[in-house]
Amino acid sequence: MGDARRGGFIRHVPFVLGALLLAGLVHGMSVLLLPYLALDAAAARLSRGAVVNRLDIVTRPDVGNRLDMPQPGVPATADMPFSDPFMLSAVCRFDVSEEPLRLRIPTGDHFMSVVVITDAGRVVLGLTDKAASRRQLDMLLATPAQIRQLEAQDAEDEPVQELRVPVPTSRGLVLLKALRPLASDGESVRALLARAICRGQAM
Amino acid sequence: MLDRLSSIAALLLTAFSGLALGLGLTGHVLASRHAPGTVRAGEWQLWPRAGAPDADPYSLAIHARRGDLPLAPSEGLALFAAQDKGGTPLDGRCTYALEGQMPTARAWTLVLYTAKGMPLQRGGQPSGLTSSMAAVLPDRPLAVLSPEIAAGNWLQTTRDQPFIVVLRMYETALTAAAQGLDVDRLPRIVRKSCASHG
Repeated sequence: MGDARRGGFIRHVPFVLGALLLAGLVHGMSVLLLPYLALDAAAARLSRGAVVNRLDIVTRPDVGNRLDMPQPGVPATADMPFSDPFMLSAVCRFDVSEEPLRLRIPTGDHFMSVVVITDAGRVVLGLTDKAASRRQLDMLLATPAQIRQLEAQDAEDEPVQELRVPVPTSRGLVLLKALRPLASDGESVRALLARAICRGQAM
Repeated sequence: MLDRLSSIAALLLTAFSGLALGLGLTGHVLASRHAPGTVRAGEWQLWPRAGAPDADPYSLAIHARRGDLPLAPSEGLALFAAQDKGGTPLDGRCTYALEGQMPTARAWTLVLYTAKGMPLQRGGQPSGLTSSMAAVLPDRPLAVLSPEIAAGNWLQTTRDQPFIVVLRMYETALTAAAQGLDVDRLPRIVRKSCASHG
């Protein structure tokens, strides 16, 4: 009787081990895949309605600014959780598979930052306006191959003025953020973002 | 025949329990204060590497699930608190004081959110404060979080709602020390009083 019971228990061991092994595998896979699959992830939200190589100021109707009312075809962070309401942002979707992306961003008196993220939400680059020279951030986003090609074309005696950023995936998002420390700074900060350039650049 | 059926049933049961256990574990870990990549300092939680190119998979998954974007380390640090200094969940019926010193940063913002991450509103404006708005008042708390109007840097809470405090410090020296952040360097959320129920 006791042997029979033990035999029954041992018969179940492979199934229990199998279930535990599978659980570990499922856990690991689900953590790794979540950023790609979550429809509510920030990158997925910001991509919706964004046009490749066009900079759009992100709307924030929750902040009560008349100018920030939602517009068709323009991404909104109003429903994006835990975004800083004191930041105005602009988003530019890029695809550098054909040509590099030119970013020219005027900076002002308050904190500004540029963040490049992949579609899975991984931050590839984060820069603040501290890196600006002559009140401008001049950047070129390109594939490593394009950067090598550009370097081969560079004149030897001329220093490169732009910051060249290699991107690991050809598609992704550029997010521009500008702090609006006081409500009265809204107009000037918005004007600064509106002057930023994000477009494809022929090689 | 019966043996074969029971083997198939056992296999199905194994597959199902493995799947359920794995997904359950993911849900549990990502919601936990002890998830890998999460730094805890008193009532504050932060994910200092989540916005770095070498971010760990747990920090990335936590942000993907919540739906927000982490700050890049060069931008600064975002500190989240859903409880007070004593470890009690933040309650809209209570008055809290943010006490201590604000760490050195180029700028900071302090924003109150609902549990789902929408900013609490006060007269059509977000219930929040920036370093430019805050009045520096000696011997007074950095901010007062209360459903009732309060003197000083008042942030209005909603009486019937729990809330989350997010302190963002832009360009702060604290970033370098973020992995083992000492809570003594951060402001604390101290509960002062609570309105009775109803």
